[in-house]
Amino acid sequence: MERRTIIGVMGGDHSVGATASDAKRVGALVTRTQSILLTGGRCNDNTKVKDAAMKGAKDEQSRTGDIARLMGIVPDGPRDWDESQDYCLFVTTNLSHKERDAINGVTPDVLIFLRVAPGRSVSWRSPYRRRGPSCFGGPRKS
Amino acid sequence: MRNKYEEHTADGEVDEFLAAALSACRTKLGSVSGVQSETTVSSLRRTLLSGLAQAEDFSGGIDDLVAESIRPVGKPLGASGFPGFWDELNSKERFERIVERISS
Repeated sequence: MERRTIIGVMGGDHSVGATASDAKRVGALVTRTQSILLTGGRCNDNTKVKDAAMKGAKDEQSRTGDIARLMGIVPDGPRDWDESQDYCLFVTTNLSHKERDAINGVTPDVLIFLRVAPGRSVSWRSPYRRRGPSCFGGPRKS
Repeated sequence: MRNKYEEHTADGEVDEFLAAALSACRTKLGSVSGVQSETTVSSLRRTLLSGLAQAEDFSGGIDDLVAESIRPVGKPLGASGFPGFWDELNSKERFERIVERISS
């Protein structure tokens, strides 16, 4: 069976304001396209990009019935693989934030970075994993 | 992102971040695509700079960004890039099995 595309969403650990709505929108769209959303967070807080994206994905599932497929690769420890929720995996890595970031940088097929301040969002298509443009930027949708 | 590269190259944050990631790749993670024995912080920084130089501007909104992200590339997706944990045997395989299950 062919696996689904894994789309990573990153945005730092800052609490976000307006960007949260963008992150939720990205999460909702990932659910709508039936891809897998990978972030460094969980669904238990929506003030950071990583959590807001997951919240958006889950909200879309509640709204439409489409399945939200979520993977959270989180720092610190001890190591744990939490598969208790359907279509979800949360791995506690027992690594520091920066070490964990290395995993989240190389695991997805595509990475979308959402910056905190108004400006440009960026999507990065890994040159090691897929053909086509390696990255491109797009303005935030206001 | 280009502006941030310039800013954080000057203040050393890019190198600091890449050094931590490279150290993790060498001591705590399994095989990481693109990281070889001869890979250095400088070579990673050059790869990043090259990627930024080749970046194409994208004029669409977030909906278009996600749509472009999942655009088919004409070949089946292989294993993900998850490297596995150095201290957990078969963690790469475990992750790939879960990806398949979640994909169903």
